[in-house]
Amino acid sequence: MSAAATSLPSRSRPPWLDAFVGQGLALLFAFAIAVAVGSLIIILYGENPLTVYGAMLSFGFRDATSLGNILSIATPLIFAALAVSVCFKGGLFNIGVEGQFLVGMVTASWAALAFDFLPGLTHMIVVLVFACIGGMVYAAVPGILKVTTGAHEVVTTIMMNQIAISIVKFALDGPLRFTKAPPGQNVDLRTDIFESSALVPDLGHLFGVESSAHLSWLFPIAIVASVFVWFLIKRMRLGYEARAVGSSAGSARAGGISIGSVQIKLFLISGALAGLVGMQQVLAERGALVQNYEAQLGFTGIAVAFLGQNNPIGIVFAAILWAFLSRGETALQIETDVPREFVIILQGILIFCVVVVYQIAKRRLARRELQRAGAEVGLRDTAAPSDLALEEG
Amino acid sequence: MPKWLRTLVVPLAVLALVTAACGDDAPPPGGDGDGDTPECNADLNVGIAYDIGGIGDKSFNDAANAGLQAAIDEGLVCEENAASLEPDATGSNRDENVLALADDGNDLVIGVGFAFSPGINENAGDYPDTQFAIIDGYATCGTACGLTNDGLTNVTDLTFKEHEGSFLVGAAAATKAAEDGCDTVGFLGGQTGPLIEKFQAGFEAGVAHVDDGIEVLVEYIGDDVTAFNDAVRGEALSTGMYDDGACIIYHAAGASGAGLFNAAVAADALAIGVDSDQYLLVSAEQQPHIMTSMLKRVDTAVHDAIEQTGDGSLEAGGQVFGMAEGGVDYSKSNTELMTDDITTLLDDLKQQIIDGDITVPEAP
Repeated sequence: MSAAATSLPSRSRPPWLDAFVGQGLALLFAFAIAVAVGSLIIILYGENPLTVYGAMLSFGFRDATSLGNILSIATPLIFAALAVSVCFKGGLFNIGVEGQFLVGMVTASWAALAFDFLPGLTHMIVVLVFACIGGMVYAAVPGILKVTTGAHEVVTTIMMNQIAISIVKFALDGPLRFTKAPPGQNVDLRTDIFESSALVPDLGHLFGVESSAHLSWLFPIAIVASVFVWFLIKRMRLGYEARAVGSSAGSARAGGISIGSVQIKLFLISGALAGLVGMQQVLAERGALVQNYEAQLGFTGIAVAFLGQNNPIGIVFAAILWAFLSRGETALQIETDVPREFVIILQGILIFCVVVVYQIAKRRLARRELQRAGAEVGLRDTAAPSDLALEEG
Repeated sequence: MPKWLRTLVVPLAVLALVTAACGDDAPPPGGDGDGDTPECNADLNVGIAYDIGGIGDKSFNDAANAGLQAAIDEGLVCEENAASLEPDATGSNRDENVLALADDGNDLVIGVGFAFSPGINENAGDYPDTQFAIIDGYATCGTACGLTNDGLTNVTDLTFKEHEGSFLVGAAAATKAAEDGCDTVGFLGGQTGPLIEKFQAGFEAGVAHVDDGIEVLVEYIGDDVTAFNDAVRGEALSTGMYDDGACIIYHAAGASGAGLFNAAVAADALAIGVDSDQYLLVSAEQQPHIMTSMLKRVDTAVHDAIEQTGDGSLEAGGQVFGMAEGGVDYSKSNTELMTDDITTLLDDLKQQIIDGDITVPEAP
């Protein structure tokens, strides 16, 4: 990364372009390192890296349905990573996306069953709104605790994640339980199947993706959500305040920003996004809430947010990359002798590389910015690197 | 906590381990040894999609694998025509694995676990030339069970009367406890829900049948599906029950049961295994502590499904494996503890269940 970055003619480019190219190169470099380390592991395992990566690529991209599958795996991850990143901008570490999305699934399922008389799209919209409300209410609790008592959000949200698992169980075992199965029939704990009006319509068939991939309109909604988060952070007052609080709470307070109000608003937005995480499985895949729901999406969201460097647009690509790797687990088992856990290792290395390389690149860019500012003003040491960090962070 | 975080540490360890393990390279399947392998049915392709825990859980998934291996040994299917897929840690790619196996042209695709039911119910219609079988499944129940499709002609649900087998090991536990002058036994469940409650109900009924003065402590590991893969919590809960006076604990917790066996060794008490004959699967140190196991013959079900697909006799719909069908049983491997007195009693109870003289409840 370093050689490529310094060889750029920095004078002729505007700083934002310089930063953009530098970051892009840094990410590519991180990816290359991860692939190289992965290759080393594959070789040590006695397989050919080209075969292994080739199997993952050819399986992932073999047809439209497989691509659709990757996008539908990515959909909940985008929502989850956005939820994490919104809080992160304000210096809050919302580990509770997991719990918020579980509660969102419960409220959405309740709405899907309770409002089954609503016609067409209104039913679906009501369900999605209830998913957001569920996530918001559950995120409001750690937010309020943080602001009023100073209870650290990491501690409270971790504990609330455990409670959320039990809330799902309670709902499935009690109020939402499907009880109409014939006697003596084995049935999973689950809700009744929702009216089709509650479900998010399939999108994939427009592109030749089979319905088994479950590529739904939730994917474009996730893209819209990431644009919204970008706009919020970069162009809206709350976004500015959030970045100020996240960078330096003391300065923000001195600047007249109400820290508590900003933090609660961030938690609410984060919770609303988290509420949508579960909709892919509930409204696009199963059409019901089942006991063996897909968990851990909130935690994976943290990884994806890291990988996307908390940038809303970066998160979309990071989620798709993550989904591609996850799909590779199946490819590895079919085509190679490498255990499927290799994918988990590769995902870990990838995050590690991105975080480290990106930090190095960022520091170099900051230093060069500093030098340039110094050259222009004729001073060397007065420019504030924190401005730049705020700009990029 | 998240897997990726843990794995940041793993690569280094892997490098060290793998370098050491590099030598024992397994020969590639379908290699040059084809000529001297015994005859096998080369026309049949079988794919098995395992549930969380995968091969090596020493329990449910391993039992399914044992059925596949038996079928391979008998030449019902050629080894190179049998594919196995494990899901990720949260089981989120179960359906993808099933579809990948069906796309691959397998004649029979077996989903090991009830969680495969919704996905197979939804997709089986797209693969009319593929037979699907689901262990513990309810896919053919269709809309009556809250699923999408009715009238599937290529899906078979293979279910078991776990409560009947659990009744026997419950009776065994109560007999042994009474001999040892102990008045408490325990049950360790995996994920809460109706399936595992069948084990609990049968166990409690079996204990009460022998001696209704014996108390049964009940602990479940958790409400989500990771409960079947949490040996740490399994050990903690088991230790708690042993501390509370339980002398024998029966588990229905998949791979989490490994925690029970550790706790049994530490407490110098007894444990009862599940699904497979776990006495044969644990370490020599643990063996004296495994009194018996409730055998859920997933292996038989898998083996039979492969055999019936081969000769074209696999019927769509439900197949129930109860005591009478040899689908559930108990193990006598630990001859030291499973004395003639106990096995005579259990075999007598077994006959009464088969004859319908004893009806075992399905819900606690």
